[in-house]
Amino acid sequence: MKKLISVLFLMFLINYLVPSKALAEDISFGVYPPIIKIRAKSSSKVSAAIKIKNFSGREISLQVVLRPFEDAKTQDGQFKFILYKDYTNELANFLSKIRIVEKDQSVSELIIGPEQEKNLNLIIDIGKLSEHRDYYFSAVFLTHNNHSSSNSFTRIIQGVGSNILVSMGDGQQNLQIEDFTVPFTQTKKTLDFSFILTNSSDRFSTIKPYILVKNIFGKQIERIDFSQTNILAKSSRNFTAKEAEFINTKGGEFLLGPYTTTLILNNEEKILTKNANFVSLPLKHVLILTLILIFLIFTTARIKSRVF
Amino acid sequence: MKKALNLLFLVFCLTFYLLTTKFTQAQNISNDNYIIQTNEIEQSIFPQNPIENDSGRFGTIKKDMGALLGFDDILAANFFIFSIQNNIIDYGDISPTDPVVRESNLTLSSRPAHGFVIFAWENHPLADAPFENLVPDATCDSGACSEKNPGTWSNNLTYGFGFRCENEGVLCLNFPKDSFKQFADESKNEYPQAILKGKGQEPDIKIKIIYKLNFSSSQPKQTYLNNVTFVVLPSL
Repeated sequence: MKKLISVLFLMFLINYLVPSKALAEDISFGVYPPIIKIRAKSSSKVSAAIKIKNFSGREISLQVVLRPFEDAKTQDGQFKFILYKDYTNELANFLSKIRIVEKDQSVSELIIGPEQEKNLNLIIDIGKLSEHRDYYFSAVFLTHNNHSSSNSFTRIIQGVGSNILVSMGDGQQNLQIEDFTVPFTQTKKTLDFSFILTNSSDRFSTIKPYILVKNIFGKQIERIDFSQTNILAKSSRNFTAKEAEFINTKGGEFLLGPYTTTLILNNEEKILTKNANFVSLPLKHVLILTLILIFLIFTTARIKSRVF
Repeated sequence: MKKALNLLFLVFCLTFYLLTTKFTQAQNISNDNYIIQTNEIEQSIFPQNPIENDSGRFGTIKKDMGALLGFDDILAANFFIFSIQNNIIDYGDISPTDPVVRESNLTLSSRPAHGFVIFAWENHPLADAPFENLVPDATCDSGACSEKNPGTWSNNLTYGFGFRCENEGVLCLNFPKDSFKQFADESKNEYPQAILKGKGQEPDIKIKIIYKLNFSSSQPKQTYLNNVTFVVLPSL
């Protein structure tokens, strides 16, 4: 018994005294809101609240970085950072007017205690504008990492940020529905469709498109929703059934028959619609129908042969 | 009588002036979360039915002015959280032609957004402190993998530093089985690459990053180091 206690005590000591192979504990922190959309006029001063919280059990040190971005031209809503070498004078000037403020003091670095939450403000001084412009940037909070090792190593820097869309000055939105494609015959279990929305204006557009499906009697039998999304200026976005949420049917499984779909786009300024028709031919239904038809033909033929 | 007429004329002129002159005034629009102040002379013309969210908690955005914080169709104000298990990847003793593989776990809570994207890049390839010797970024077995294109890396005679992203779903962008990529190199002005994207409002998402390092026999025995940055952002 004494031996067992000694072994257990030794194991306990080893566990506590020998450094573990894992070199550092988790760092976890978060930001809110994930996105800030701003429409402002010439000579405006914008102030928007940002909260940051440290969910780790230890103090963390963060650096605040602004990374401008633009549409990645992939039509899937992706964006890419603008590299410093590609900054225009206008962009550099705009970025210089942005401050992250904590209690009226501009901050570029933050120290946040365990489970501590900090309230910050994003302040943009928009000067006199000569033309309408949109600017997009991420306010990124990056960890400081000074860890080192005697071996070769990679330091991991982690960051989380908010996307900020700024539209300055007056300007009309110009959003168009292009290529609303619904294959005429639908044989799969899920409704197949796609559409492209093009924003040809100089300002971003916030949209939440949806599709209504009506049967041959004009009765609405399905509503297909999409999440709210922002289409940046001079860019396009392709939407497919994969991103859709079918409200009534499971993935858009329709009974055999003809249907009419209406894509509806209700943005800040106007409502756009586009129609497309399809015929649902679910394989299961077609198979059952074919079997019934064969059975009827067969039965009719037998009855006929008995009668004559 | 003349005096009274003059006074009446003066009052008329003053009234006319006051009624026809527009005054310069600052214009403010605000709520608890944002303030916009303008010094414009003209008045804003708002549409009759401004877009306004149901709760009013996140602000309003109107035709010309306003700010909206968060997605107005997601009412819960949860934090957009990113966690990383190890903040240093130690490669230990490295023997030439004997690849070292390490991994780190990333966790993401993206409930306040409709989607997310993780960007990754390195400040420079693994290098010794005086920056005289570098470990090249891996070009994989075919010699063709880059920060954008993946490639299979199973040959122990293929040298360099690379990574792959693993997730049980289909979130990692363009990482076929056993394939690796280079980190985008900031020192070469390469664009930070999106390595992963997904839908928001899901349970926490766990991602595994696998780092692979292999030295050639001609690689000088030094301590090599670099920084790799992972940034998570909401999708638009």
